Amino acid sequence: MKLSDIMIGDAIVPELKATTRDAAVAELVEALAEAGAIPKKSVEDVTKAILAREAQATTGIGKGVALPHAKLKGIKKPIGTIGRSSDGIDFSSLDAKPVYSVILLLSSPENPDEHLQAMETIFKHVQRDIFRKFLRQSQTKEAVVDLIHEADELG
Amino acid sequence: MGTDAGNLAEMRIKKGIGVSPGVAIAPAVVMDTEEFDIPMRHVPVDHAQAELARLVKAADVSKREILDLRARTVERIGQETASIFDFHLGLLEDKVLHQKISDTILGGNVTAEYAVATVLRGYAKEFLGMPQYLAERVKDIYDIEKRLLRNLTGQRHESLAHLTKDVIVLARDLTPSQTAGMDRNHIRGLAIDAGGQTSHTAIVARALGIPAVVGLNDVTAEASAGDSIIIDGTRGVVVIDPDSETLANYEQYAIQQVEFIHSLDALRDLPATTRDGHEITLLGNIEFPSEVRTVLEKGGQGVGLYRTEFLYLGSDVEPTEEDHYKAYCQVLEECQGRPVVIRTLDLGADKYTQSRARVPERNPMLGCRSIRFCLQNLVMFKTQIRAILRAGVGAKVSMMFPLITNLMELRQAKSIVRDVIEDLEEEGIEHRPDMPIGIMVETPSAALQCDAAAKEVDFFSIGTNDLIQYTLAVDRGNEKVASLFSAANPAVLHLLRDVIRSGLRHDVPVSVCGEMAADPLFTMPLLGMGLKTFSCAPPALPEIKKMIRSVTMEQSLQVARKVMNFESDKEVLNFLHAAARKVLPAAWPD
Repeated sequence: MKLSDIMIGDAIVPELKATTRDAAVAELVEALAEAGAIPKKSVEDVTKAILAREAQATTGIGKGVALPHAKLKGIKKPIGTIGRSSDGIDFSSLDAKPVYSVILLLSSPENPDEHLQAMETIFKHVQRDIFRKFLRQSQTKEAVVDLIHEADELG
Repeated sequence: MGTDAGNLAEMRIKKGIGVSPGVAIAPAVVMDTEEFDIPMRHVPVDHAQAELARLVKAADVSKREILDLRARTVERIGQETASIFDFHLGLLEDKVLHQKISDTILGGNVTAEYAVATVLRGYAKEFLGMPQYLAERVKDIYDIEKRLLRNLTGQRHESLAHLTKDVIVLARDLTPSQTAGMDRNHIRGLAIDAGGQTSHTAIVARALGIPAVVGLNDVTAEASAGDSIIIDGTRGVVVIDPDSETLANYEQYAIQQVEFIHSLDALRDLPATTRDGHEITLLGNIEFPSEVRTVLEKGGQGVGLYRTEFLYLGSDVEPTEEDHYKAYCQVLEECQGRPVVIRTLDLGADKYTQSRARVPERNPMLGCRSIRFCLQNLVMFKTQIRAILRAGVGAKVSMMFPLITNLMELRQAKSIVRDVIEDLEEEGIEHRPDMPIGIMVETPSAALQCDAAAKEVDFFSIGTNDLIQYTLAVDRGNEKVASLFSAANPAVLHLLRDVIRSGLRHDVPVSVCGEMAADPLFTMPLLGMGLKTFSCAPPALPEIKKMIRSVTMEQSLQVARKVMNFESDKEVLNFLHAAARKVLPAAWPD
């Protein structure tokens, strides 16, 4: 699975308005709805589900990255988006440092393997220092989309 | 040197890698590489049918042999090892293969031998060209070819399964059916040219308790059948045609060893407590569920390292969740409530991962192995984690990730566990959500970062084999540099001490599960550094317990403190030898 298969380009938020975790998640879910990736009426439920998952254990895995996610009925294939924050957001990350890149993932509960493959793809890229660095530097939607495609090409 | 009249041949000492401890003295049997030279011979046209009949008969006999071998292997070693023979059976029963051989016989009017050799060698070539895991199967194809040819020619080859007197087996390498079919009663030791610590031969030799030295390079060329051989699996030494003095020394050493080992039996039910009353936990390392029994027989208090790789290596297909689950349940059941640490898949730099790689890795030991491989194959990883969480219900089980080099990997792995728990919850499947999670500290990076990691794990287990390899940059399977591989290297000791101390500071239990834990020489310094849990191969448990029961914490503290001041591994070893001999002279005869 490629990053570009998962990420909805139109839903990418190059500069999050939100300053808190909950608001950042809500903003990204809203962006997915705006882009037509999920129904507008589901925004509230989706946000709730992600925050419920976040409450169990933070997905702020450190090095400025958080990967909030949830499995939801009605989602057919893994979809995601990316939000950037220049000031950083407190995600109660494991390394207690602010998060600059929020990568949000929604997938189908019927197909947990597909969810894992999407996670695998995201993990693979965020492991790389260079990817995280470039992501933090991408100031426009287009720049993020380009980065995603470049990352896919590198494999 | 061979100065005495009775021994004309000159004594030769060969250094290899000791992979299964103990001393054995017996005459050599040299397994040649068993190259059948099959000339192309034509048979009269009306004889072709007879050749076909010979082929069918040989295939039948071969099949019976393999079934027998498999049954015995199940009984003696376990289901996982035995399953290597399923491929052999499958191939023998393969209709396409039979058709090809028959066609070759009938088409060219050639002997059955020639047809078998031609067709199977063609197969082998095809397999070798395959980039996937099938390339590894070439060994098995040769194995089958030899078996068929043996049965066609009626040659009773020196089989390792039917020996009448005690021998030491010398071989370039052993095929899986040779190793698994070994007659434990007559094979006293193994000396192998090829192989390393983790070769198939090494693993089976350890499981059967046969002293073995591998990586000898050319022992089969140096020795001939009937030569007197000494195998010292503890030190990795093979002596060919020993002079009478050496022989006498080793004989005495062997007797002392046996007496000493018997004296240890009495310790089985006694606690592993130092003379001044400090309680230590002694656990066993296992590969197969059936080994739990040995751990308990040897006085182990549980399983400190359950390696799960055999689930993957035993067969062609990836193990299912049920395969995992059954194996884990069996281990837990046999342990009867004692603690068990299951290590997630630690493959890499070997057949399983290499064969699945699109391009072979240039430097697999530093490549996509172990946890890295798992994090890039999450579906496979998840299957194992599901089985561990399910098997853990109501049991004292912990999960351990190998080869962690940075915290991101640990967090990713933990988030996968979290995901799997959610799946299980949704599906309403019973599991243990609060299972303790630990990491192997086996890279210098993990050791140096242990303070940070301590906040995110429930325990540490120091894997000394890899820690030494990565700290000293030495491949101990490479005989040119193997001597640099030393647990006594001061750099290694410093890392060990730091990890153990970090664990004490953060209240995170630390165990050592590498070979160092099984070496009584290091018992005192490890105790002195503050180690409370040792996990080692079952055969080493009694001796380690004896060592623990022979020392005081005060003594150990002194040894640990002193040992940190040396600058070379030689000094360290000399000092530790002297210290250990003082405490337990019987274990270190002159």
